[in-house]
Amino acid sequence: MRRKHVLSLLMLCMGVALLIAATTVGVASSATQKVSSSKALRGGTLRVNQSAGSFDTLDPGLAYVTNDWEVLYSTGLNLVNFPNKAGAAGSQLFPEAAKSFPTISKNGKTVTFHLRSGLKFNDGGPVTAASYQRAWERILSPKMYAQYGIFDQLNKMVVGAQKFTDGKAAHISGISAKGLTLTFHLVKPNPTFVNILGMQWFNAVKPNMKYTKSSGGILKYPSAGPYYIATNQPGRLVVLKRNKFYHGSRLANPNQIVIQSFPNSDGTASLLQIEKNQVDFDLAGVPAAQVKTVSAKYGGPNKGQFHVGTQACIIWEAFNNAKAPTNNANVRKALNYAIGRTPIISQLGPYAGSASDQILVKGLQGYKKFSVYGNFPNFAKARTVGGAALKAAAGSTVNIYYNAASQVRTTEAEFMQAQLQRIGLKGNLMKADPTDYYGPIETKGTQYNIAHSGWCADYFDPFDFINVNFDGRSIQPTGNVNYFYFNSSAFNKQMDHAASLSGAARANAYAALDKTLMTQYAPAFPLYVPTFRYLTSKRVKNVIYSNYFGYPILNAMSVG
Amino acid sequence: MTVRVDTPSTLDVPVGAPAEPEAVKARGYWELVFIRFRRDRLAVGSFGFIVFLFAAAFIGAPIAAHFLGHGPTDQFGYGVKDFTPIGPWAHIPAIPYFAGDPPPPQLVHQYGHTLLILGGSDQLGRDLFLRLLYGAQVSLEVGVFATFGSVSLGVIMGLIAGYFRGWVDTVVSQLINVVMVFPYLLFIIALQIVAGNKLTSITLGFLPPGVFNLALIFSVFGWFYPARIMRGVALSLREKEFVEAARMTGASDWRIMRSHLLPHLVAPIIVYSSILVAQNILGEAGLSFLGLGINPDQASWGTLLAQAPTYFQTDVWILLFPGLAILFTTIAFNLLGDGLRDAFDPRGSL
Repeated sequence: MRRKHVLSLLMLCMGVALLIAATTVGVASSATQKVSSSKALRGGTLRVNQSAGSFDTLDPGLAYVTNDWEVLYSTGLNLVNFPNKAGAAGSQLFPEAAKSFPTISKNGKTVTFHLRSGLKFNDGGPVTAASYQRAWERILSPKMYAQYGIFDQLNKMVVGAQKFTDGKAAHISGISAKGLTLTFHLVKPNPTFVNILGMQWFNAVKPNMKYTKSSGGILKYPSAGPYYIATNQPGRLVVLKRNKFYHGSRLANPNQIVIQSFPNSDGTASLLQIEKNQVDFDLAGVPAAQVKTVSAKYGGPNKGQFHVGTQACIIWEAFNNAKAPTNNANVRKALNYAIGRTPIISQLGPYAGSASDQILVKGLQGYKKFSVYGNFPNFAKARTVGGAALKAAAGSTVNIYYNAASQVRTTEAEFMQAQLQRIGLKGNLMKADPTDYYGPIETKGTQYNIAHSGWCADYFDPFDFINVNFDGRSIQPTGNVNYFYFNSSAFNKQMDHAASLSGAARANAYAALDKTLMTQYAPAFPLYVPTFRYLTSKRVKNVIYSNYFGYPILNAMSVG
Repeated sequence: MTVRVDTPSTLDVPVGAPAEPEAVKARGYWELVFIRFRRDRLAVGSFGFIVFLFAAAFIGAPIAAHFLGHGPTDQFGYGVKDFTPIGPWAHIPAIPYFAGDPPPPQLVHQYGHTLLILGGSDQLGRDLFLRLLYGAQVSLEVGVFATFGSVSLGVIMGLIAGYFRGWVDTVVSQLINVVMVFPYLLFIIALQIVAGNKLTSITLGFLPPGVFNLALIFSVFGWFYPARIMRGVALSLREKEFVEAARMTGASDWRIMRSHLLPHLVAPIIVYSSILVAQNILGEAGLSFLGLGINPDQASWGTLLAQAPTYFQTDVWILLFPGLAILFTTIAFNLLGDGLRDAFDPRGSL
């Protein structure tokens, strides 16, 4: 008996010791480190982690999330593309597969591109005009899992696209592909058309690339950019290898880029790996709780390994406008008053971004700063604005959809739950599948009421922020970008009108739409304009941050 | 007359009084168990700790919340300073959200101040001490209900298999084998994705959200081990004379199992249950840590631990307190089980 007691106490002591060791092991300090050189070298393997998430798909005909596009930018070859340059220069399109910017007919309706000769996919096959014709068809075809092109109204942009989208034609009659000449016949002149072609949907693809009804799309396919997808294990691993046939101006520094996804990790482990130079970079950035420490350790932002970059995005809490109680505009307005922006941003650590309660972001045509709801919770105002609708909804359940793998998102969801309670609503935390966050909310009939998400520029135009997200006529059974399920015939008309304008009139119209949307309908809870805070390992050089993608450019990073 | 010294029973008999033999006191089985258990100080101490834990969780927690003036889910914006939770024993403005630094005087006046004692706050400025106490409720509920479920199921299945033998035994044994090798963690992950939100909402009217869910999962995947123990015991007991006698008197199979076999299984049931409670508490902590168990708004030791890695470099108490609570509780239950096993069967192992 005595020996057993001694053994038990020994085990207890060991347990306590292990626990104390676990709590102290991470406190080991390291001196401020500086990147020794910014000289880019080719070679080596760039090791990237992706914490608290994974790629929805890397099929360019279905990809519509920022991290997906970050990879597609390294694998794809567009007619026009963004250069590997930092700052504003990196957001200016240049003709890449095209010899030059297109020639546009006098009536503005015919746009013709001439492709460079000798462009090849990684399998050696030639890139021709048909490669881009197929890309257009895959983004609009009813044979695909989702017709994302409809949200950008591509079906209304090109002659014959609507017929094709409806499944009444085998090809889009308004796109003509002959050898290296690609001609678009537009329904009406469109000043943003060339900008639209910079989207990663329009990567060159093989003319015989299949349609797919799988939400994950086609996993591997020949591509013509600096890299190609050599391995794609959804939710786990993506390996990009250098395309030996790419001879364009964009960089292809690492021999290969290995991206491992850890949907159930909050990024803390990844951060330690980066600090120990075992991993080079995390697509999820630095966990919010660690930003302050990391920033202090590495001498502040953009002075060494710790970087902060602005993003052309608005982060919002989407409301499901088709499900009670958030189907009522007054309830949605009440939520905009009650939740509070600054308290949520304050949980995200330093340099997280700036509060905003509008849809458009700075830099877009028509952006005019306003504030309707304020940045701090105002429960009295919320109850007043919510009025009878809020009283009627008292005690009803509001499903807060969140990514439980992310500590920040969990905290945010819990905070909102508490705020809802203060205006009489019952917040119910609804865990998302960390490997497929958007799929369920993009499906019509979804049960969420509030979901954390946001929008980054597809191209720099207010149409992309307002029409694409809030045109209710585009709602489909699955794959909805308008996952607000917001549909107002009056607002649809106003959006159509604004889109038809140009110049100052267009800017003013969109500024008015931005304000109308938030004051009259409040389909979402705009939260803040974010930054991307990330740490690179000691061996990473040539970090070029893209404001457009909201990430550093993978193919430009050097680890050689 | 000289008193014989070699007869101890006569030593305290007054000289001259008639010598009476000391009455042999008959002690029942349970009394003997109790006496043996009482001798094991560590087991008694563990039992005391467990009683204290239950009292602290179910009686102490509401009392503490009453005196502190706030609950375990109340958020305080100023419980987080410089993006990190504040430490123990701090007076803070009781404003439920961050409203700028310094806090606006009118809001301070409106909400007053509050005190976070032991433990400080978590990432939402909630009182970690209260969450630890209320978290004990959830963790103990999961531990106890899951144990009740798995042991009940295990006893029934083991008893049936051991008593009836033959094809019933074969079926139950094969079922045990299937459950034993089933990759239950993968199953739980899949279940959480498909029906997690619905299952979590089942409370039976008195349980916190998620407790039923976990108790059910642990019961379904935890019954095989008690079933194997009970089957073994039942197999040996069914050949004993008292069972044969009962059968001769015309007792039905169910009566024999219920009235003659089951009482003999009480000892292994109690011993195994006490150990299983500890396992289930650890299971709850593990699954909640992975985001698969209790919802994060509901305090449990697992959910408290789940948020700890984020702050383990800056606020170690967030990891330390729930970690210690789990450590001491599981050790206490294990030592109790150990002590009970020795008490029930001092010569062998149950």
